[in-house]
Amino acid sequence: MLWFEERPNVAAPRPEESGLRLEVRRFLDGECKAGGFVPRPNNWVAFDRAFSIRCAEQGYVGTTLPKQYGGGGKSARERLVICEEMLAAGAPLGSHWIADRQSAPQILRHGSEALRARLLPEIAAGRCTFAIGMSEPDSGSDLSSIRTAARKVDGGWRLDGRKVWTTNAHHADYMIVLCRTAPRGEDRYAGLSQLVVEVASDGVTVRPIRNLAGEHELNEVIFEGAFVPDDNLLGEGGDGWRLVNEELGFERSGPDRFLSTYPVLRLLVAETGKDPNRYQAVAIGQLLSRLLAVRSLSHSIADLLANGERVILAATMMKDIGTALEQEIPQVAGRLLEIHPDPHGSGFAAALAAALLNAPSFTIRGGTREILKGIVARELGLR
Amino acid sequence: MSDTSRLLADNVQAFLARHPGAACDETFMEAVRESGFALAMAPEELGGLQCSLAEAATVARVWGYQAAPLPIVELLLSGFAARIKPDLVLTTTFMPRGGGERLAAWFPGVERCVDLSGAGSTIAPVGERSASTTLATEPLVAVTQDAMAGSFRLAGDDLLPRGALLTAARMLGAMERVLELTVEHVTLRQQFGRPIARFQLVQAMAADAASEVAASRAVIGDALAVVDHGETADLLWRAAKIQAARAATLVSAHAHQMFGAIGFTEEHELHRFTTSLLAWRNVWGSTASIEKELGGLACTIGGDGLWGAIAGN
Ligand SMILES: Cc1cc2nc3c(=O)[nH]c(=O)nc-3n(C[C@H](O)[C@H](O)[C@H](O)COP(=O)(O)OP(=O)(O)OC[C@H]3O[C@@H](n4cnc5c(N)ncnc54)[C@H](O)[C@@H]3O)c2cc1C
Repeated sequence: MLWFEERPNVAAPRPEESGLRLEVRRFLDGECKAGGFVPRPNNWVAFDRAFSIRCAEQGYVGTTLPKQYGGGGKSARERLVICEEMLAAGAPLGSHWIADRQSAPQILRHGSEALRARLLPEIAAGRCTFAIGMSEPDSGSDLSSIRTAARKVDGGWRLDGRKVWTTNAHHADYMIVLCRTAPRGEDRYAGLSQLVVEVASDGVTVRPIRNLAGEHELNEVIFEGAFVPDDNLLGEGGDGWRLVNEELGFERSGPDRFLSTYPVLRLLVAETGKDPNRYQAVAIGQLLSRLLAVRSLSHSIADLLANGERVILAATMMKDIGTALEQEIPQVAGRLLEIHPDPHGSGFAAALAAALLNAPSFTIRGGTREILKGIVARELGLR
Repeated sequence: MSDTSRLLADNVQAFLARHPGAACDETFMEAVRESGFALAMAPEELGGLQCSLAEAATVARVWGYQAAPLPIVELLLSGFAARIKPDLVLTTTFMPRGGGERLAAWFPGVERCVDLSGAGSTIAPVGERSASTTLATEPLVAVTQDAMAGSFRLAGDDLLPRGALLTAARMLGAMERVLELTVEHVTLRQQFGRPIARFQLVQAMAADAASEVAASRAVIGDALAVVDHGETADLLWRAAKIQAARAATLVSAHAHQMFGAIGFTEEHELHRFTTSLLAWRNVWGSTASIEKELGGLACTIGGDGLWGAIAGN
């Protein structure tokens, strides 16, 4: 196709949505000024339950969930607008981010009615934190090799095994755990299932893992015969591979894959001032052009979704180049300004430090850059 | 709009298929004049198709995809400028040389040139056909300082964003073709007893090229839509041109790497796309100058207002 389609989701200022943008921006501005949060990069991980509840009161959580489950019944486009605004502002979204981004849609599509009725309203109210239970000590990129297993018992499942790198498990109420429900056979993708596990259950232990910035985001989660009721199985059982890939689709395709360090770009431009030298102007122009290009690609995914077309190729490319940009922004910012990154400082110095220290994870979490390129190559027909 | 664009794409494809081996000469120029594509953007009363910019960009994109000769961007813009001044045959300067002399794309019948060296778009007469060419051996014409004396200014700065975006669209078409050729090549070419597409480094190069093309397609499409809606696209058109240039650098380099020696020959068609891509990066504004402008705009807007300028206030 060599022509330019008329696309509804043009990534440009759009008058019809400026009302919503301004409303979210005013809310965030008020929060920020009242000391509700300090804008930081990588803030979609930062846990702040009270902030999430205030967001939910405005309708900024569970936006697309059906009204019968306490959601806003709004369009994906409206959710995108809200998410972009919150990310650009560097607001602490960690308490609801994973639930809103991937767990809720997963439960809505594949959960039992009992589970939906119980959990979705809590998520939409901003009162419920979810964690992602995919990775294990011996299974990262190759998720089909996981060993955490659930065996069938009366009324549910008994879960044994160990997950690792679990973001915010220490704050989480629930965790969607990928596990084996049938022994591994010829087809390594068969016999996997997804269970919604209550983290406070007996037989679940959460241990902290400090990251290189000294922050406690990651955890190890150990399951020792933890009981999971039947209602908490997603899908039919045995279809976990398809389900986990759908979940990864939600995890990989959003604006958090190119805006994580936007707050650094904002501060860089502010610190540079109105009169940049040629070198600064060129470097900022390069970053901004890339941001706009990735954002356009990201919005084109919304068009594909609306037309019922496959999004995996566009979404994977977006995450790959978007996360590369997220890493590039603090590198360039650090070169342009003579301000030392300072984890204990404030303003640009603190934001730069947080971005530089967290940057290595951007191209690992949610699927490594190498795995993403492999998916793109597969979609191109190379493998 | 989409239907017209699709039809236009098909017609341009068919037209170019009827002229295999066309060159930048009077014969092909005459055929293009007759086809009416060059007047795509001209108003109906002047015999034009009154196309939107996105539709005109479709013509440029197919032109790039087919590596067709003649500076199609300038021809299309001549049609656009005809709204202001009929019979204006435009080219554009893009290659400053010593002594104040500049070069511009040459084609049969060209008389005047949009000079981008000053502020806005100045129209100046062109001088002699130059011995210089672009990297892709596209002919050039000299624009001398003397000639500038007889110049006049075109109202508004409509030409620059349009020229840049049409160029980006032409580059996009060329990159799309390079990507197709590359995917075909790596799946057919065998080494070590298997298609080279099986090698992960090759897969990564192809994936990177594909991502650059996809990002270019998205941002160019958005910028075209914004201009066609009559809104300011100050950030977007520059971003689109810069992205196209960045993509062109990577796509050309990776494609040549994946083709090996065969892609380095005159006989192979790859260079017809890649060398042009390298040259077009700096047409209608050099990449560095547009980057500088975009960064300067961001700084003028300031950190606090930047997000609003990107996403809307
Ligand atoms: C900050 C952070 C938060 C995270 N949060 C969560 C979470 O909440 N829940 C969760 O389940 N997981 C989480 N993860 C784990 C993340 O999903 C994994 O780290 C990731 O999938 C990679 O797995 P790994 O670390 O075991 O690396 P490995 O899979 O061992 O990979 C190591 C290196 O080898 C490369 N490699 C592996 N296989 C291939 C291949 N086939 N071809 C080419 N190269 C290959 C990788 O690209 C990488 O460069 C998080 C990780 C980080 C860093």
